[in-house]
Amino acid sequence: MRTSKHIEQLAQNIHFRPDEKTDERILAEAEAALRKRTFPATQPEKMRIIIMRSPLTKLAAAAVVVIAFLIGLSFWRTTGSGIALADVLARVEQVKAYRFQQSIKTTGADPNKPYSLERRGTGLMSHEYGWKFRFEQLDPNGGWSTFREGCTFPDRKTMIIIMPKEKKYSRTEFDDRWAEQLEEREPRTWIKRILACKHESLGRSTIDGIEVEGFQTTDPNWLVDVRDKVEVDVKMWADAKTRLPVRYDFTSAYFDPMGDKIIKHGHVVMHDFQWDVPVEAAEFKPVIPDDYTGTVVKYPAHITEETNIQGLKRFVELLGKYPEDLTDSGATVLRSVEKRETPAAMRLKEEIKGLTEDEIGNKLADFLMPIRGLGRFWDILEADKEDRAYYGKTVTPKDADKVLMRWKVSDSEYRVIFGDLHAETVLPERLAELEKNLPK
Amino acid sequence: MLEDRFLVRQLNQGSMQALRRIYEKHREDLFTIVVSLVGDKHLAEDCLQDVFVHLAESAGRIRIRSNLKGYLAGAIVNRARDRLRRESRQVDCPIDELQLEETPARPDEQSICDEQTSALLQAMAGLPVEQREVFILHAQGAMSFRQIAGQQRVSIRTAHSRYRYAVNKLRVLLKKADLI
Repeated sequence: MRTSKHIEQLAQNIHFRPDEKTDERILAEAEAALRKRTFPATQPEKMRIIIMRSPLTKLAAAAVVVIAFLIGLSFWRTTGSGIALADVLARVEQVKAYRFQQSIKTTGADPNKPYSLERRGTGLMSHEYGWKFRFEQLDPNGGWSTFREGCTFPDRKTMIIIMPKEKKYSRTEFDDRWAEQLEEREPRTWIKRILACKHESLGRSTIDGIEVEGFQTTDPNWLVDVRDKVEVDVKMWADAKTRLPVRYDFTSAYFDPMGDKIIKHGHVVMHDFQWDVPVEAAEFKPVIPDDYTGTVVKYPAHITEETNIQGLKRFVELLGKYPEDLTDSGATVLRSVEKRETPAAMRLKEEIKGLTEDEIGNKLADFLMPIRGLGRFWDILEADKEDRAYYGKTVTPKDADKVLMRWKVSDSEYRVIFGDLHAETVLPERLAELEKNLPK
Repeated sequence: MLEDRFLVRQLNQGSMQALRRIYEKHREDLFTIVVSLVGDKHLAEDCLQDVFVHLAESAGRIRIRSNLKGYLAGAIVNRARDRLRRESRQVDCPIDELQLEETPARPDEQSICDEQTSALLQAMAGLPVEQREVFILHAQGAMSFRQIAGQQRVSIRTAHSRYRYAVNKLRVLLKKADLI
C-alpha cells in the first residue's frame, strides 16, 4: 500500500467518542436552547396539493405561466449558465412519442417486513396510441426475468398487464381520477412539478458524451401525494443543445410516524431517452399467449360517496361484516367469499358454476367493482387531505348510530356514514360526541 | 443524506427528537475531528457543545447547502479555531486521556495500532493549522476538497495542495519514528 494511503487509513481508524455524561450534558444544553426558540405553525406541505387540486386554480396557475411568458418574467429566467427549465418543458410538450429505459430500486427497512426490490424496464410513450412498458425483476439468484409487460390506453381508460411468470393477464378499467394519476408518471409532468417547487441549477456537466444542464429540487411538494415524513431528491439533466431530458434521478425516503428512521427508500432512474421516435399502432397491441388466463378488474367510472356506500353494502352482503381495511384488494375478498355461506356468497358461487374462465372473470369483475371502489374512495380522501377515519374493525351493520366512516367536507362540517349505511352531515362537536361512543 | 435533510426540516420546525437524532448520528465523527484538531478532550467537548447549542439556537433558519455532516464539520472546525485562538494554545496530544473507541484488533496488533495512532496524532499536532484542518476534514471527516475549500474560503487547488503538504510531512514524521 502506498504510504499516503496508509497514513489516510491510519487517520480513518482513529475514533473518539464523548462519554455518557458529556452526551447528557450537551444534549441538555442543546435542548434547553431549542426550547427557548419559537416556531410559527406553518403547513407548507399541504399548500400545493390543495391549490393544484382545484381545476380553477390549475387554470389560474397556467394563466400565470402564460402571462409570465408574455411579459418575460423570471419564470423563464435561465439558471445562469444557459437553459431554463421552462424551455425544457416547452420542448418536451412538442414531442409526440419517446422511448426510455428505467431502473427502480426499493428497499423497506421495517425489521418485521424487510425487502429489497430491483427492477429495470423499457417504456414507450405515445400521445396518440398510449403507453407501453416492460419490466424485469432481479431474482434472489441474481438473474433477471420478465416481471410485467403491457400497455395503458388513457383514452380508453384501460390497462392490460401480462404476467409471464404466472401465465396470467389482467385488463383493468379505470376511472378519470386514475387516468389523471397516470399522467403524473410522465417526464413532462415531472418537469412541471419541478417548476412548481423551489429548484436550483446543478450547472453544466457531461452524461454519455452529451453536454447537459442539471436541475434539482428537494422540495417534498414535488410528490403527488405529499406526506409529512418524506424527503425527496429529484434531479433532471437536459441536453444543452436540444433542451430535451437526458436523465432523471429520483430518490425518496419515507420515515416512520415518529420520524425516527427510514422505513422505505426508493431510487428511480430514467435514462437513454429517444425523443420523437416514429411509432405504429401495431406496437401497442399486447400479444397474449393462448394458454394465459385473464382477469378483468373494473372500477366504478366515477367514485363518489354513493359508490362507496354501494361497495360497503356489497361487502356486508358477501361476508356479513364491514372490511377491516378499505384497501383490501378484490382477490382478498374472493378468498374470503369461498369460505363464507352468506346468501349472497352462496348465490355468487352458484351463478359462476359451469361458466368458462373468461365468463367467470367478467362476472367477478362486475360483482367486485363496487368493492374495488372502496379503496379508491379512501385514496381520494387521503389525496385531498380530508380529515378521514374508518372504524370497520369495530362497527357492525347493526350499529345504526355509530360512525363507520367520516371525512371533512368543509371547515365546519363532516360527512358521516353510519353503521346502517345512512349518511349525514354533522358539525365537529356532534362528531366528537359520536366518536366518544364508538365500540372499543 | 435524505435522512439528514428530513432531520433538518424537522429541527427547523422545533423537533426535539430531530435534535437528539442529529446528535446521536454525528457526535462521534465530530468528536473525532475536533479531538484530532485540538488534542484536548475537555476543549473538544466544549467545542462539540458549542456546535449543538448553536444548532439548536439556529433552528427555524438552518439552510444546508450540501450536507449536514459537512455543515457540522465546518462548524466544529470554526469553533476549534476560535477556541484555540482565544486560549492562545498550541495543540498537544495527551492520548492517554482520550477515550479511544475499541478496535477489534488482536492483542499483538493492538499495541502496534495504538503506537501508530499515538504517533499520528502527535505528528498531526505538529502540522500548520490550515494543513491539519484539511487533512483531518478529508481523511477523518470524509469531506470533499470542494467542501473543504468552501469551508476554508480558498480554491480547491489550494485545499488540495494543503492536503498534499500535510501528508508529506506526516510521512516524514512517521518514518522518522520508524512507524511506516
